Amino acid sequence: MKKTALVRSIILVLAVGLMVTVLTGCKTQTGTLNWGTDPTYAPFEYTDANNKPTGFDVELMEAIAAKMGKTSNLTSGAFDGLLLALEGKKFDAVCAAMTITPDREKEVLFSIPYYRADMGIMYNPSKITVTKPEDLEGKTVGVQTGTTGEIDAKLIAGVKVQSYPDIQLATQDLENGKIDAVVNDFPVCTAYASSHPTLKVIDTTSIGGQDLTQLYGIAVRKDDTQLKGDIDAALLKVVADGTYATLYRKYFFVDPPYLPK
Amino acid sequence: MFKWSIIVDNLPFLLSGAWTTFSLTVVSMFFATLAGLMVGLLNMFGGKIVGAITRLYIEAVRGTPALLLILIVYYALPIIGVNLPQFPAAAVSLAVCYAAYIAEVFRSAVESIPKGQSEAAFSLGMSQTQSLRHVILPQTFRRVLPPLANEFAALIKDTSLVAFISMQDLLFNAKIIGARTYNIMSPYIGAAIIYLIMTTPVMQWSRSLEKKVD
Amino acid sequence: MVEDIISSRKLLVVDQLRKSFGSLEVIKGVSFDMECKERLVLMGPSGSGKSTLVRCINWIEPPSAGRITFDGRIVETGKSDIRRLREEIGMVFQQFNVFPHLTALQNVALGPVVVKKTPRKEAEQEAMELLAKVGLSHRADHKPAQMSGGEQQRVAIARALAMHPKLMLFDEPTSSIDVELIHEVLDVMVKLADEGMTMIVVTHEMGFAKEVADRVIFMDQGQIIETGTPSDVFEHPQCERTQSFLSKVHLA
Repeated sequence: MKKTALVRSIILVLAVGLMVTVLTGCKTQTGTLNWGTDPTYAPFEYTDANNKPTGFDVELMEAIAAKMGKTSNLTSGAFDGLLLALEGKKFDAVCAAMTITPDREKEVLFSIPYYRADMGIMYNPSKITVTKPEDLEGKTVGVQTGTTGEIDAKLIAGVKVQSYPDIQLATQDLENGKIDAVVNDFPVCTAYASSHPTLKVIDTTSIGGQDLTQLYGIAVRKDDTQLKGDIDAALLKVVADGTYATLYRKYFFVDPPYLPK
Repeated sequence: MFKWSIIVDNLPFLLSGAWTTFSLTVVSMFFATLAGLMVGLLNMFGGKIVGAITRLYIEAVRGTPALLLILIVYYALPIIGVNLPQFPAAAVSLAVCYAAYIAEVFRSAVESIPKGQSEAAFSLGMSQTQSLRHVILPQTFRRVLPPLANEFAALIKDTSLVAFISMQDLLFNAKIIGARTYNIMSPYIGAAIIYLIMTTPVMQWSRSLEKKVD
Repeated sequence: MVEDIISSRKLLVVDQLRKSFGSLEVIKGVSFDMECKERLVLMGPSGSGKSTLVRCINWIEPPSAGRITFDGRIVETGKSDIRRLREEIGMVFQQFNVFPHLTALQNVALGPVVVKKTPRKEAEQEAMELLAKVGLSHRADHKPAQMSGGEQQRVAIARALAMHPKLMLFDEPTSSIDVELIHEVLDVMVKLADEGMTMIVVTHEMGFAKEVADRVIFMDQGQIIETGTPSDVFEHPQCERTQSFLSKVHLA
């Protein structure tokens, strides 16, 4: 039966092809802390003039790795895919200005909080005036999908929320006058506004009575309690020897109002 | 506001992303074409059960956005214990995605060969396999090249989805530059130009082939 | 004596053959037989089923019912039987169906090389002889696109002959050829007949039938209406349908 011979040989070749790709294997280095982030979110993670990743999170992770006796090994990818990649064991931790939320805690395990952020509202003062969130009633506000900014913006009464796949598109529209404001983490807004002086930022800690302060955590896989413990311990050492405060001042120009504990 | 200088200053970084994009496309296309040919042949000639399974695969893949497929393949393999490094994972995902389309390209080409050709082959005593190998498939070669070139160009563009599985391709690198310089348009335009440089020769070659086939 | 016994065995026996395409029955119970070296011509109006009948004999169209016995073996639909059957039966098509991506020589050699596993050199040598036989030695390295219809059909004949068939089937071999080139093909077919090739030819070429046929079968609407020697059928047709068909063909 020549036909089944053909079918069999085809299936064999497909299987061999798949095996070859599999056998190129997965290299796991034990002397490194493998983590991921999306380097498009200054001042937490972005790239320098040589397009090398840098930022508060990057340097913090380098310090934490050092305290663990390891080197930091960073993989970059789109924010929306980071937790997926973590699940898929492409790396073992995610540090990406990620707010600890009950929903996220269902999927991953977080370290002790390493940063407290307030929400920021960025706007163009020549067009509208914003002193409190309620001033955005009836206005159009840009946010990044999947962020706490998106969730918080929707708490404002009478606001129209427009979601973007990344925050730069939202800020671009703000500059072009297409939207009235952008809601995102306060330090990200101030970093952006510092190079766009036409824009102003206000700091909010609550909307409609709801506390908005967010705590950032380093995410690991849900069952990886070992790594969480190691990271927590290393983080506390980084705080104890003053490295944390130095980094904080470097990126946010003030003393840290909150120390991890 | 568009600034050439941003593109020029960051050209090496853009080009390193372009290299990822290009090499990923070439590798994925190779496996996608092989797999697509096999799936296509199995679908047409593999019998009822195999035909139904391959048909299911083809329709399911073609009806699903490429991003979703990439995430499924990338995400599903570790569950069965297969944990590939970045590049092979992306290549497998893209190949699985595109093999379905390429299977249909081959099917269409094989079906466009007049029935009399296989009848003549059979009348000489050839089996289905021999007829395919010596008579039908050689005649499809010219006919499949233009649609394959189209798939190649589409694949180049779909490689941009690998940013979601933490790979730095051309588009993601452009985004990184934009975030750093707070000027998104310039690097995106730079990336667009590089994409065009990669796709245009393929499309030109395909068009010249189409003229020759007729 | 032994030769008598061997040659008296029928090469082909077709028994109550039926063929339907969906709900349309095209062959409605046809029976006939053939001996070695016999030359049979099938004629009839279009739609009579004559082409389909011939295509059933080598299972290019599988019969719906009835039985075919070839060279003493009953043929059924199990694949290896069919392929072996086809190795022994050669077919020439109305549309030629020569392989356009191969030269004339490669066309003729392909069957033996692929199916009989004949070494390429040997197959090509014989292919050259066959091409010479059909008058196309000078075309050996040309592709079909560079040849006329008559030349392509002669390549097709050589291609079928390369398999050393016991029976040759010709399905309207000259219907797609320009009138002035038809004789090239018919001359080859006459030569084959003279050499003793057993053949069934579906054709409208009455002159060929008169010259070559041992027997003529006239078909209409899926059934055999009349059969006999060429002079019987052409000059003294018994049935009305035969008569009316012949008068139309004469007029043309």
